[in-house]
Amino acid sequence: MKKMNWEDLLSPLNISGNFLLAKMAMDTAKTANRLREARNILLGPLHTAIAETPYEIEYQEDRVKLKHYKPAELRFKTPLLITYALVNRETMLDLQPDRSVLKGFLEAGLEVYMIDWGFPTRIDRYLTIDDHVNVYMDHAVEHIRKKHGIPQVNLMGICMGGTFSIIYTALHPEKIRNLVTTVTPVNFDTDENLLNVWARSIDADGIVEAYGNMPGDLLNLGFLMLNPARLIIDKYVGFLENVHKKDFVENFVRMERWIFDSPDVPGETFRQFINDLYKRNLLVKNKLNIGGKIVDLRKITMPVLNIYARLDHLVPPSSSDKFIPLIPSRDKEDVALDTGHIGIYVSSKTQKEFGPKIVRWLRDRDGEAVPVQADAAPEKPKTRSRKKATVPAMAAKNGMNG
Amino acid sequence: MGEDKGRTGSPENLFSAWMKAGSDFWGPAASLLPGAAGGPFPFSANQSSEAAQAADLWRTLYETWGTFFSVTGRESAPGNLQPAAILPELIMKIAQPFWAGYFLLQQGGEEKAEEKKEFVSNMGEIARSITRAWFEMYQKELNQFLNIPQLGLTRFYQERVNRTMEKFNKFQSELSEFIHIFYTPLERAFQALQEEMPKIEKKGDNMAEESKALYQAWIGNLEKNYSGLLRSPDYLQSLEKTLKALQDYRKTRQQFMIDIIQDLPIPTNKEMDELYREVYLLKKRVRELEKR
Repeated sequence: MKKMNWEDLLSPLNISGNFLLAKMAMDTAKTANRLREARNILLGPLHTAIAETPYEIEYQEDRVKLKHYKPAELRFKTPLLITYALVNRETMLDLQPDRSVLKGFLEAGLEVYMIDWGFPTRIDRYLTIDDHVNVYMDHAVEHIRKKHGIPQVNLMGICMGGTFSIIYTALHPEKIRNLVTTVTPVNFDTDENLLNVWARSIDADGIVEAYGNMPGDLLNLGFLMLNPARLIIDKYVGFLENVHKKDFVENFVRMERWIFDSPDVPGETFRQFINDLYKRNLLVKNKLNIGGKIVDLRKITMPVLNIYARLDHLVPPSSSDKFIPLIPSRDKEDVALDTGHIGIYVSSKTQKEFGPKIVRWLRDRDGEAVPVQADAAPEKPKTRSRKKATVPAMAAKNGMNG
Repeated sequence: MGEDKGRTGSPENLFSAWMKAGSDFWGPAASLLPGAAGGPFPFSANQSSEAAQAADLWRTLYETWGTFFSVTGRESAPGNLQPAAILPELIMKIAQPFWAGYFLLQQGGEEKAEEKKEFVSNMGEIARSITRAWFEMYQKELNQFLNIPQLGLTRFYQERVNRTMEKFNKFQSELSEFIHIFYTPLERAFQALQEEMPKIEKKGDNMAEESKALYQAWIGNLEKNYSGLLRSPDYLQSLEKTLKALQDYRKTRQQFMIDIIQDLPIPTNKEMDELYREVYLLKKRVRELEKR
């Protein structure tokens, strides 16, 4: 009987055993060394905390909080309110000290407020886009107007939060001085990216009926499946290749913490976002009904800066670049950056372009703050369960979300 | 496969042979049972009271069984009923659908294996055929039992259990089909890798670098295959069906869970949702009133 060897075993796979063995021998020493270093790094102290910039919670209603970040030296008259998406968390703007859009704003002297949507539970399943825009966002704006005695605030929206910001601005144009939208989906009738194709084919009503809220983990699974080769395999191969580098490991873990820190999306909001926006594309048609009012983009007349990413696989350029032509504002600008949906906020390259561009643009339009007239004083925000606390970011995060 | 029917190895003959073997075993075994004709240990008056009670129990059971069969139209009368004699027939009736299904499953796999000579490259297709055959068999032979109308006081509970099982199986079926489709690009990328290996080997110099290039080629190929697949009608249809099956399963499971939870001091999702809706509407109403 013929004795089996490596070549025989591997022949059905058309792989030469000699090749593999030679390769293994060459790599063994290198791998062993790398594993030793990796072991030291993974078992040693790692700094993987995110969102460490200190803030105060100035206002809270239900699960929603308004974070306030103060610059060391104030150089802007109008504060900026940032609205993040309901998918993932606003901590992305402050991922690590050397790559923090937020830190850049504060160093430029910009006072920042940021909405933290929190973690919806089953009690939030009936909340609609109307509740998010006309209740939570509006109360945050009212709080800032009242506190600073100003008639208008600067508003910046991110992704789905950008869509909310556009809706809010169209419904309450008198309260917004300048609008900044970043990687914001506006036109949903595009096949440029998979997400739009999939979103149009799913039964949002069925999901809401079955789950109540749209689970964050299910959404994340969907995002991973947009590019399984890179996001499920290659990313972790890259991690293994660089596991002996401490900086790389820390940054990688930070990003992982952010990516999989995914709140559920309130059921009715998810249903409306899929059906009215992804499937019917009502926003660009000026037919979107929010709380009984039609969202008319022609009411957006204030200065608008729209930034999007050319390599965005979630919100493609064809979804974002339709916004500017649809609004009558005379001071409006599109900026396209050569990066992706997340890279726009965290890549070292765009750190030098994205944040500084917004700061310059806002500074040019800061002007004199108009004091609030007695008869034009904003209404006191209608608040419930309001509280104020000063907490270091991570401690607060653990307390709030743990 | 069709030619084999009627021969020794055909499904029917195999099944008959198996049943005969069963009868041969259970027949003599039945004669050993207390009270059976010709049994070696007939009960008598001098036996212990426990043994006599057991014999009575057996007799009652036979009579009840016999009555049941006479009511359902069987010829056997309670007096001459021999449970062991009808046991093989009973087993046959119950096992026949399973047996038929098993052959359907095996046939599917064999036919696929015969059609496809390249074993390695077609493993996925064979597995898919077997999975499909299993679910076809399930749909034809087993699923119908879950839809039998239930009777009596517990009928609604039993129906919900059955429906949950049915929806779970349907979800598993769709999920396996989805996973198969999702796996296809991996298979193709590995095939391309196999074709590339000898070329890389021939170059021979700096194998460490080449292996990295090989991986890059593989992952690039995989990405390309996925980008094609994930937009295809087949994939979209499978995704839609899988999500629908998951939703249906979750919804029926919720109904089933309500039955379980209702006797415990735990509110059900349905009850909590009603409460949450009330709270939501009340808060909205309060906001409107505050604005006035």
